[in-house]
Amino acid sequence: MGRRGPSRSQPASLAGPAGASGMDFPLLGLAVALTLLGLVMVASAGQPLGPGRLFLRQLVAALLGLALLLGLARLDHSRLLTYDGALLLVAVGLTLLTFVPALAPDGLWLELGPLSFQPTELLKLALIVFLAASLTRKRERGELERFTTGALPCYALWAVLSLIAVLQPDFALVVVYGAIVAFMLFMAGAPLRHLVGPALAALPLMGLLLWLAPYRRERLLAYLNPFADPQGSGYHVLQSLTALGSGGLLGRGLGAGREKWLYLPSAYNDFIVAVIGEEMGLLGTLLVVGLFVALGWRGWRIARRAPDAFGFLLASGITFALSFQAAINLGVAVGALPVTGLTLPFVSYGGSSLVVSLAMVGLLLSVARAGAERGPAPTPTVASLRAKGGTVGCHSTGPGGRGRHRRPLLPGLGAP
Amino acid sequence: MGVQTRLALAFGTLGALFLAVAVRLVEVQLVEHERWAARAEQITVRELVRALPRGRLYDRHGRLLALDVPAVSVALDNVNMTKPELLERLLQERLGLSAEEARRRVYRPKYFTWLARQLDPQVAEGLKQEAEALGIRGLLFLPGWKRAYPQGSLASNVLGFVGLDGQGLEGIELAFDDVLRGRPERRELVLGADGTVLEERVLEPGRPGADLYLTLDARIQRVAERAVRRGVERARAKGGFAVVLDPRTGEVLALAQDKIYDLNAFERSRPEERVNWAIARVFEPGSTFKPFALLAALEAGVVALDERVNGDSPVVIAGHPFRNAEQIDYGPVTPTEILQHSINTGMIRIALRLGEERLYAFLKKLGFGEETGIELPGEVAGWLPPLERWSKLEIGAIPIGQGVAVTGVQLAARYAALANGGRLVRPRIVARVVPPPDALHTPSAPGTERNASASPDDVGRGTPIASWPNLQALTRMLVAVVEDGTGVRAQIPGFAIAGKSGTGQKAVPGRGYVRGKYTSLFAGFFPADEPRWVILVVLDEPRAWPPYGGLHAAPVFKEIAEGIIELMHLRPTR
Repeated sequence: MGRRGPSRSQPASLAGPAGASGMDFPLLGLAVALTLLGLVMVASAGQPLGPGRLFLRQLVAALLGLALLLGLARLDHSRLLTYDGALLLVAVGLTLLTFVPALAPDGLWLELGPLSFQPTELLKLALIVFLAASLTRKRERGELERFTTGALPCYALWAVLSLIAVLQPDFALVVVYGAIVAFMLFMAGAPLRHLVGPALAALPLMGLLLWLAPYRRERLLAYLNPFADPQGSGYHVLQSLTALGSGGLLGRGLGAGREKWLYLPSAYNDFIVAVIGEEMGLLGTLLVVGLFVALGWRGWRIARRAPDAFGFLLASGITFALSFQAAINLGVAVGALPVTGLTLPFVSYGGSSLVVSLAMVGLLLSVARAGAERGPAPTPTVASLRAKGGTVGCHSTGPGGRGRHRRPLLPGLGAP
Repeated sequence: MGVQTRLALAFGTLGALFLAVAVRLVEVQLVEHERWAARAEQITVRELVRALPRGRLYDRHGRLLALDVPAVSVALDNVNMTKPELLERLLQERLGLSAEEARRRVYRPKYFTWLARQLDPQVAEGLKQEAEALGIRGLLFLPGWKRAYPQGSLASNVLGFVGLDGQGLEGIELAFDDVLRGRPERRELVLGADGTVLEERVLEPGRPGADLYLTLDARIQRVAERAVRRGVERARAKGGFAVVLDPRTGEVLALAQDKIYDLNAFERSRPEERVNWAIARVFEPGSTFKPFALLAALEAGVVALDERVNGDSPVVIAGHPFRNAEQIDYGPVTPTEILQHSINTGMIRIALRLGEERLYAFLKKLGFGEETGIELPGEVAGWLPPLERWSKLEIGAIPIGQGVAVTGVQLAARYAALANGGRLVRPRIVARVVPPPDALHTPSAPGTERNASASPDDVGRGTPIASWPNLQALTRMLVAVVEDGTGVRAQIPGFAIAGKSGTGQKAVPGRGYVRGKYTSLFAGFFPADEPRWVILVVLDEPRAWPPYGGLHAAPVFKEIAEGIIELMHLRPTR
């Protein structure tokens, strides 16, 4: 299956608008556009909670996130190869701190003085960085070919993180983590049987988890028939569809939405696209979809031109995570998926999510810059990866396994 | 499978997801737009109806007789209420409901239960605050209006009242309901789930009702009500009423009766109190009818003013003897003496000269047996038997006011024709309608008035009922009645008063005349040389004996006339 053999190499002249500075301005523009749209819509959707309250917090997060984005864009992404394990440990540690009631009264937000943030957002990023680094190393050592050294350790990590997520409880994270792990294994070139087999085995387990918690069961049933209980579980979806549908082509006008006035739960959060649809109509919602598609396309492009395997995995993982979460969120809003509680990256209210999303874009820009400077590495193929040997597990951070200096990903293929 | 392929596959899948979302968005937002918009309307839009005040009632001089005051009705949403035990107690304490009643209203499987209608706004506010303090939810406070009658029972038979739903149920309130009633304002509110008003739109601008100025004079009404009540007491009558009207215009100045009720507590009124006796009940006019028969004879020229007619009792027609009161033989008498002493036989002998046709034609011309058209509900026509149904006896009975039935307003209006030079006037009770200032919707300036009752030529329609000399002569005769006749008890020193007493027999359906049941009457007008007030007094079934109108009704007439003289600061004319 699939195409084997030498892959296309991209001519340097197609490096695109990432010009002399190496900055991918279209991507930066997309991220800024989504953030601005989010600020406007949070201001609008937050009206019932008092003018400006949510907006100001979101604005602070946006500024913080943009600063972080610009900082990370200047960073050499490969330096993360040194810190991926530490980053993951910190993120997991912070997440575990949410189980200390004094630090996190509601179990999701860690409250440190005036700041409060959601460590699971950071954990998403840390997971991507770690997987990208770890899988790069595995690929170099040829460990991906064997299930026990390739995919299994990653599944184990997923299991641990999922356990934390279920205890939080935030079931959606189990899905997000799983998707990230599966996607990155897939991208790294793990044999398909390592992906399909465990997925089939995990299905009954997932079903059980789903069924055990009554609220999840209700959400699922509500998804199957929202009109069965319009005041109860189906309420979210019905209100979301009402908001979207009543918006029509052009919407009621910015700020003139009605459903956000406490009819639509989490209007400024999970269902912000419903507010966009009500106030800006189909044009507004298609704009959101278009921006995410463009973002995905830009991320894909950056991944393809990544200068090294780590950059490739990092860029594609980040792009996937952002796009996946957006797709799920939009799917929920239009009633095509059961209610998950996933936010719309950049747009939904939530400082942690916004800061992390912008940081992700910062890393994407970093990879893009490196790709523009050094030119794209010829895309690694599974066949070429098979030449490598060695066994280092996902969790292994032994001194010998760390790439402190950059090495050419594939023999004989250097930067032009 | 190459990495490029994997990348394309993964992002292709994501792209497909986004495409699916976009397609679904088009479906929801364009194809199903109408349906979802309708649902949004249903959820967020509420129609609000705000009642606007009913028009006010004034007397002819602008004295307030009825007005709407703000009131709040309280209802309960039983399904969504909280703390029913506290609510039960609150209803007992604040609204004075019995424990049982409070319990009954609180525990109902309904979304809407009335707790109190038309409360004083302050009482409602107190209830609201206490309920909020106690954390009781589910109370609904609905602002509205309550009809108030500042004069209490005054003219209750004329004004009528308004039901809880704002509908006029009796009297003027009923007859002019469509004029008085305000048009409610209909507004559309877009509400947030917490009740925040997001948008507001007037669907239909409301309008307060038009004000009504009545022809009534509240002071004369008050005088007349008191006089009637005292007359009823003196005569130990079952009831009584009086009509005062202006003979020049037909404007009713007072419609007084003894059976009245507090309009502010109309729910405690009795049926006989709610009847307007002067327009909804008939009686035999008795001798107060004689002036009309005599006028017909004078007009026909069958009797001269100085002619003497046999006044001995009885006159036998078709075997039936018609007698004078107390069977007195008066000998030859002039028409003036016939009226002065109310001599039945003399009157009948003149009527026999006149004949049935001419008598009937004259009475018909005066409009007896027909409704006057006064703007009040429940008017009855009275009864003048059509000529073809007259037996031999009608020519004897009708001239002395038997075998005919009239209403008070009808009789008073015919006396007005005697007083005003022969013009038939339609009695009227509404002087004018004043629409609310509403510059937006009516081009006319605020305060413009329109006449409620038709055109001016409605006053004094047609030709005079009689010649001026005959009317003058009749007035002199009626003055003689008061100066030296059965009407002496209506005398007021310094004023020329024209009047005629009457004692009607009461007929009971199916039994004919009943012994011992009479109607005691007095009708007249003053000042005789330039009449401005017609007054009719009717006392029903006086138990004092004899039941003569000159004895019982004349003093009531006098009291009312004296009251008017005082109110109008009239100077004695002689």
